[in-house]
Amino acid sequence: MKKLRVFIFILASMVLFLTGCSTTGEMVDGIGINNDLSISEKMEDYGIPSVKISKPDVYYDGSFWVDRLCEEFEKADDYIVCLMFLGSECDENQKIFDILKEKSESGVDVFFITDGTGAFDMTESRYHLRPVDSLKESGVHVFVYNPFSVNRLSSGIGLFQREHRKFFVVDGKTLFIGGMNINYISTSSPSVGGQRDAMYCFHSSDVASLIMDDFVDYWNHECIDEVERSSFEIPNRSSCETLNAWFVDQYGTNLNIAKAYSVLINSAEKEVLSLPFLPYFDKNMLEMVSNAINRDVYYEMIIPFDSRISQRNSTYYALLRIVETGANVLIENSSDEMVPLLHEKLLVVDSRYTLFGSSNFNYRSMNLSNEMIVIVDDIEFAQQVKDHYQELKQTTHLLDLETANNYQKLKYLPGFIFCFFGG
Amino acid sequence: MKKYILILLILVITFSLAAYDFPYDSGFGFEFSGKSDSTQLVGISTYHKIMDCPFFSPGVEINVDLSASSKGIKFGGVRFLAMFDLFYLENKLFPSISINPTLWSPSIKVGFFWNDEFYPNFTLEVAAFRFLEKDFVYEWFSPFVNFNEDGINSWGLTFCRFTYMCL
Repeated sequence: MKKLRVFIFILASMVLFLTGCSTTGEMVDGIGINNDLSISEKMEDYGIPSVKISKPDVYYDGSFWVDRLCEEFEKADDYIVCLMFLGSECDENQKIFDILKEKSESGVDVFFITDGTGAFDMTESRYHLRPVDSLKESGVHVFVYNPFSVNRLSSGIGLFQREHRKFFVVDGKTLFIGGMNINYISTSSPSVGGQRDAMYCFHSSDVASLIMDDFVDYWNHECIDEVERSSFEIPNRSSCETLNAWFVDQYGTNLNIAKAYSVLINSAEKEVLSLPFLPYFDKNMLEMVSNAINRDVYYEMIIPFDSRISQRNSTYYALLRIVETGANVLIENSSDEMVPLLHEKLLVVDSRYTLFGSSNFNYRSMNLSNEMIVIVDDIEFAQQVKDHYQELKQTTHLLDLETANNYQKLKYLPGFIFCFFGG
Repeated sequence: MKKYILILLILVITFSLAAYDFPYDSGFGFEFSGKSDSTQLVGISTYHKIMDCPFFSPGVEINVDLSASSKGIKFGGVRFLAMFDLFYLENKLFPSISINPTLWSPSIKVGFFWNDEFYPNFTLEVAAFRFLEKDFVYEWFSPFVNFNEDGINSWGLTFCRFTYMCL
């Protein structure tokens, strides 16, 4: 009994410590809530750089994205940087690895970075995954971020910090940013077992330059195989880079994702549409949503149907507090059959600002993960993304307060706590 | 005078050679070791690197040993060590030490050891199989001896020590 008390005390202390340090304080008490400033001014005050990008090509099917990725990799003659949360070989993505090896052997500098939890992939990919070690034999610079191993247990709470970004840079010319990894479920079509997700391909010398600045800093901070920034040339801006955007790269102690969300949601005047993926909000996030609704902003989100029962129950546990803010929470219709998981992350504000990238809208992405997002200021692009959102909405239903209340059962609380910090 | 200038010159050249850029100077870790006068030891340690140089980077380490006996776990002694990394070489010999690339950096550690009765000794440890990542230090099979003017009092082997560099 005494041991149980000590365990509960330690657990409660950790929860208080982690939530007490949240960057989401910016969402209720920061530049984001200053009504006298425009969105551009708020971003500038937060030090979030404005950039020019081309109109992104959006891929919602992993197999088409893989084709485009391979096409761009084939063109590379200087360097390729691949950074993702989960990276593993399988039959469906073998050609990516073959091209990377071939390019590396021909003298192109290839970097392949994954998170250390890759071997613990809990998705359908676990039945297909093969390690990426063979890349090393071809001279690819392979790095695993914060590996999960017994001898690294002394890093304690540091094990919570994960690499969740997904970006690919080819010669500084072509960029891919979004939610897709290089594993079975990301690189397969949803019709044959893949998940529903989005990847954005665009050109931007501004973003490429910022990414490579950060990448060299990050790589040299993490890996003994050091590189020089001057090795990565960035081409001049091309005429297609016409859209105004902002770029946010969160890694290490540079925590700025919450600031970007704060600016957008606190500046919303009419409507916020969102795909949060894993909606584990802390009290500041809930308060920001509530404040937006109190300003008569229409706030809507789509919550995925997760075929994995325990994950679904943990997610649904979190929904009562969100429904109580007054937000319209749409849940995907349930099915006894395997439904491709909706892994996409998206925020569209006032039919003008589109936020995409790796970041879920939850506590972990704001505080405990490396994340990368782009916010595009363009009505036409926002409409294109909204059309896709409307398609997703077709198979959802509105969650009412009573049902949300029924979802919040005590037996799902441990799963909720685990997912709140680890999801 | 010329001799001192020459020494100074060598030091300047040595210290200005491209050293690896380690982001953290200090860390903490745990170790498992065995000693001739106790059955089993678990230890906790802290490490602070004073300076990054291509050779002989100096640092300090403090180890607190806990020994297991039939009476349970008890304080086994404390060691204060000055340590010197002999050199840094890319580790090609033992790639399975870590999933990521590591540097091989043997180290000599000298200092003082106070045993469980706070009896003072000199101590010397040779960490030949010491491997570095930017945020971790792995040490395997490092022999050590504790001695005073009367000779060697005890000896042992640190089977492994893992140090997480975070400050």
